[in-house]
Amino acid sequence: MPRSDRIDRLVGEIAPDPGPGLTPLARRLMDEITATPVAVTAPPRPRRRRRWVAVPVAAGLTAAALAIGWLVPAIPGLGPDPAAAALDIRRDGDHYVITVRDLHAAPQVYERELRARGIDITLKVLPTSRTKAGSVYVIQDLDRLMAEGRVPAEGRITVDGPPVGEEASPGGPVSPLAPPGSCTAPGECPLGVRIPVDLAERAQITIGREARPGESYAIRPDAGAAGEPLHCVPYVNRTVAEVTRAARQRGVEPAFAHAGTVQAADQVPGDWHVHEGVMSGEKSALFLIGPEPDPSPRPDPAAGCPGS
Amino acid sequence: MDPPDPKQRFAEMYLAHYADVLAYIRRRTDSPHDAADAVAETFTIAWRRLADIPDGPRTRLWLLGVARRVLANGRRAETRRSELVERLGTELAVWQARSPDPAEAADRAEVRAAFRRLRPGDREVLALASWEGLSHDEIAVVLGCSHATVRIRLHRARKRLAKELRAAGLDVSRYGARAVALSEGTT
Repeated sequence: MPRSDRIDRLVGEIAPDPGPGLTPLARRLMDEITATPVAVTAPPRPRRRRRWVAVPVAAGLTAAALAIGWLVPAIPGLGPDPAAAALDIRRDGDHYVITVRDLHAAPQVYERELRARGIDITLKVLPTSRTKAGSVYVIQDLDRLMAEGRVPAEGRITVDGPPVGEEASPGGPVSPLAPPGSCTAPGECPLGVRIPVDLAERAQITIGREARPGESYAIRPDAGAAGEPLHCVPYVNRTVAEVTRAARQRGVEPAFAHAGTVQAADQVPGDWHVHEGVMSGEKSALFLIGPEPDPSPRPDPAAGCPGS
Repeated sequence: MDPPDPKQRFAEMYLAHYADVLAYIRRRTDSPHDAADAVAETFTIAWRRLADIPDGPRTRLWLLGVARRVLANGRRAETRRSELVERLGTELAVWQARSPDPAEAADRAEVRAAFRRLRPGDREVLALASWEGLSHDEIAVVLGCSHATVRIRLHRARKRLAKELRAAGLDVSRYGARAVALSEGTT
């Protein structure tokens, strides 16, 4: 990261609270201000300083982008930026387009900036693999689920990972700005989400960002998913010994989970069977195991691979 | 075509930009009541000078420029605080008391102290870039200077902050990583 970016991030991290935004009292202030009449005949507009004429040629693209922004302010990237340190929130018709500018801000910072705009969602940005960066997960109706004490299950191994909800698809009401796989330059694509303005229930939205070197994944992709190091390596119902060998050949250190505990490869029986697996870091995987093969296994992600 | 009704135009502008103007002012004032005064003053000026306010993205920059001058001038003696503005100040104070500010976290005290040691001009240009997220061109509009001047002032301000951080015994690169780790530890 260039030094200027590090400095800007440090300054961004000490941004004081932006306040509560547009409250009912603030709306009343508007009525109070406009209760004072002003001259209806407007004074002649002062001569506009055409400052941009003096902008060097190199800034021409920026100037052009600004000019377009005047005409179509709803297009992301061209409209007005918000006064926010961590999020860029714009309205595009009946959706908000929320771009995460600071991927490492504390969740409270996101929440404040969302609340200041009257958007009642919880937003988290969690580390995941490069191929899952940009993915968006949604838990709808969070208040009801929490009140009922129900934690939505992902239906997959979460072991000690937080449940993040259902993955949002590009065509859905809540959709990722840069869905996984759409971005050819990792780390340079906008991470964010489009949400309907009238999203009725309070939702928890989680966006995946690429993990830093050595950082554990909080959003764990299938071990055999495309783009992951164990893609096309069969592991469902293979033995612990076989999977350990295959994983290590690809530079991945496996750990194994059974009955709620996670253990290293040399601490579990080598003849037990792997039922499912997820990547828990760039070079680590976590497999769910049992003494017997899984009688109704999920399809092995390696099934469609060459040689399978 | 008839010009738009002034009240309607003002309402559209107010609703679209109130949160940004409040955030700008709140981040630069210690007292919630002073902040409420400055917000009211900024929008009162905007109402009086409605015909001067540019359209499009420049509306917000114009408002931030006014807010900046209001803060620089301090509270005007002739501006009597209305009861509503009093209540708005109280509302801001209650909000502040209920929501501990993440920027006040102890681990950021050194960065905050180094930032406060900068000259006001350096602080403002850094804050406009990092807190308001403005581009060089937009900062130039708010400050009323050229794009080139903004670029130079930002470069110098970043250098001076890095120097302050080093003087306080902080390695910017390492501190950046540590700050990130700490901010994630608050989840």
